[in-house]
Amino acid sequence: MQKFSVSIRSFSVTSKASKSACSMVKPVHHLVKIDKSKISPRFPELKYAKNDIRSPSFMPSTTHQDRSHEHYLNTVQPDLLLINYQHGYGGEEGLKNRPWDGTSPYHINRQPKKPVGSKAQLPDIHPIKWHNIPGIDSVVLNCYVNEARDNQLYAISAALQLQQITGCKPTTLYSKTDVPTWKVRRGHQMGAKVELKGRPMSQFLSTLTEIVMPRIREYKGISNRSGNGYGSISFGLTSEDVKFFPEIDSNQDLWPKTFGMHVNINTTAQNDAQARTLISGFQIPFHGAEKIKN
Amino acid sequence: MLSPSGRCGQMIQPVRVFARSVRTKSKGGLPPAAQRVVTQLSVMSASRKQPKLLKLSREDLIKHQTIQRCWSTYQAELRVERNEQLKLQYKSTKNAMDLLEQLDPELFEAANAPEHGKRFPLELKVPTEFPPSKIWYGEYKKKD
Amino acid sequence: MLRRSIHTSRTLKSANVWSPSANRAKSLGIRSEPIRKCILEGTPSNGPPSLKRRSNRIKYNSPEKIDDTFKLCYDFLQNRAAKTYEQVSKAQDSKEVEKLLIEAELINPEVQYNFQHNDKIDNNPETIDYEQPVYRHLGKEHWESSAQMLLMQRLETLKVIPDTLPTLVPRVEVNLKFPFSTGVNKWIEPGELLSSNSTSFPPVFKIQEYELVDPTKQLYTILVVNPDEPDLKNDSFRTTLNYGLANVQVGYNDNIVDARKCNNSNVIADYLPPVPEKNVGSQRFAVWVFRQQAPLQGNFSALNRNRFDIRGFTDQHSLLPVGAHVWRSEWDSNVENVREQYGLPKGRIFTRVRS
Repeated sequence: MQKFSVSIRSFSVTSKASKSACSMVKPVHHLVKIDKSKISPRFPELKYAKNDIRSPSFMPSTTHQDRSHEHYLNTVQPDLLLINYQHGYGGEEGLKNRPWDGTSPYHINRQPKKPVGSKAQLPDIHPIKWHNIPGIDSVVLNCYVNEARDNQLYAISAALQLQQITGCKPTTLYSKTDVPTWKVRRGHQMGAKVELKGRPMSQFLSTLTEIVMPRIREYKGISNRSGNGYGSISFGLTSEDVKFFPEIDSNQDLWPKTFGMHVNINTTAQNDAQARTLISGFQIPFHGAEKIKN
Repeated sequence: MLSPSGRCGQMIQPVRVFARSVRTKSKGGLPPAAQRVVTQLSVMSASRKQPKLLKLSREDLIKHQTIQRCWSTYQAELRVERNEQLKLQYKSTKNAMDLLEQLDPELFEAANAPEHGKRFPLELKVPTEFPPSKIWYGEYKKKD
Repeated sequence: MLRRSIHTSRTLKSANVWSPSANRAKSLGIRSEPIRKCILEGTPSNGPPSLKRRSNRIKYNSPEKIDDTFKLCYDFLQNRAAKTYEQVSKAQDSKEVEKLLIEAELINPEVQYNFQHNDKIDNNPETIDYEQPVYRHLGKEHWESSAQMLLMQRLETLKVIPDTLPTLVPRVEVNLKFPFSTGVNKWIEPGELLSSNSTSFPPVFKIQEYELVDPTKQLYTILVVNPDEPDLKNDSFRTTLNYGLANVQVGYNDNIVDARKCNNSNVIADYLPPVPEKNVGSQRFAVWVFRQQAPLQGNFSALNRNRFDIRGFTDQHSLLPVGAHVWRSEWDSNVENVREQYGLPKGRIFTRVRS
């Protein structure tokens, strides 16, 4: 431990502590949390909360009925509680890292061993009760355009397409690394993505299930093998499928080129089986053999 | 034409006649593909979507706040009520299964078997106001 | 759904708990009758009365259907408040009663209007009455949202906290003013640099208590100390006591502590104005407010004001620090006059080279 010497403030010399050559984190002597933006007398309108109507960033949120969410609360949620009920199930502990036994002094700061049968630690599984019924958390649309490596303007079109479909502002995707075989260079604008929550999410889901999916030719549904193991289901929409979104469909002349995208549905389910059951409650079809484990 | 003496010096300069006519050059000078992207970017920019800040009088501000508070109180009450309902559902399921376990272990096994791959039927629609749930009155008879 | 629930509750609507009655405090309603009517009964045809100019009133448009929706919501919230008031009559504990009273009135639009659009420091007890738990709650929230943070930041950056007392858990709002003819007629921001002229007469303190205490019994001690007096013998600084008041009683609304109102039993140390000597830099004057456990007794004339040990004093009398404030003073050309006025010796002049 480093020791700090406490010096008495002397009148004749300026204290050395205030002229330290290194940066010092000064101790705080009270427990009041300070928000500097609240102290400043400037820009009083920026001090309001985001949901205050006086705030410049106020957005009315509860403007219409959330049909999909009401359906979830009225029908899906109680059913899921029953479907996932298992009598006498006390939960399961996930695989965890194994600590070293400490027989060697070199064990002290060594990284713990990986769990047996898994590369990473797995979360605990709890029985489903009234407080942890799976629900849809967010939907992320990810539109990565391969052609954008030659022509970056495609990335802008892709962003606009996402915005037209969802009505939310997309964020740009950049390529992270150089991949010479794919002719991808780092830092190029390669597409866009948007995270949907709340009402925009419900709106997107109902458009997808009621308008787009029924119109796709010979659509079988989402693969039953999809999922990341922790309750997120992903599937893809091709550039042809995207044309069925009413926003694109109504003025096809403006969209000579559409872009396919990945749809990730993030749920609060603990594994993929629960997540698939949940998602099927929103008119989304599944196909293929069910994976029993996970 | 050169005029006779005197005005000669003025007339030497070439005369440019300014006449309003149809512009022949394209407006920004951008190629159409680039112009298209500029339009797309301007559609996406936030400045078009930012509405004017609403100015409320003191009384209307208080009214607005009261309405919002009422709505959030009401939603919180609904949430509590729903949660309570789910809790009751869970408890009664548990009680029923406890009872079944004592009465008939075989039926209990069947009831407690894990349902892998359980799906909601595709016919389950998210309800809409229109069309109504009962579309056609099959047994309609005209009243005499 | 909302409408339906309100229809069912209409039948229960016997108790208009928020409407003015004999045993209801006046401060829980809006004083101005036109504004009250505008909120509760709908905007009149000539526009909202809070807009003063006629042209503004004509220009102004209320949001559509706001009055109808408001009435619906008002009834809904009033019903909830009536239920809370029923619980109040059953509650035993005074803290629980306070909590319920806050809950019942916090959603009252009249209370919100009164609090949002009136002065919170120089409060008029007819609009903001801090004896009402709900106004105390709102006041505390308002204080914590900005002024408390500012105070704590200044105490920390000016090192008042470890230099005078180790720490502070702020519980009362302390405001400071120099109201005499020489002073500045405004509440001083913590850490402000004041001229010696303006501080030549004792300050006025405002101690705003937001917690549930018994104002008739609770006593406070106020100390003003200066930890920056040069101490040449030890090549250091010493703390002097510039002002001390004890056994001060404040109410929730009437809470201004003025030197003119204090008698000799309250004053434990007369006011010594800040008279910094030349070239000592700016001196901090820390105001500390303590809650007393019992009336302070003892001979305070024997206090060592020149080398005041504030930590020892608080321990000795078991005082609980609840509030603080700080201002700074520097030498200026008027210091000499103030020294003469109080019969103090002429100040030293320090130079950069010290022999």
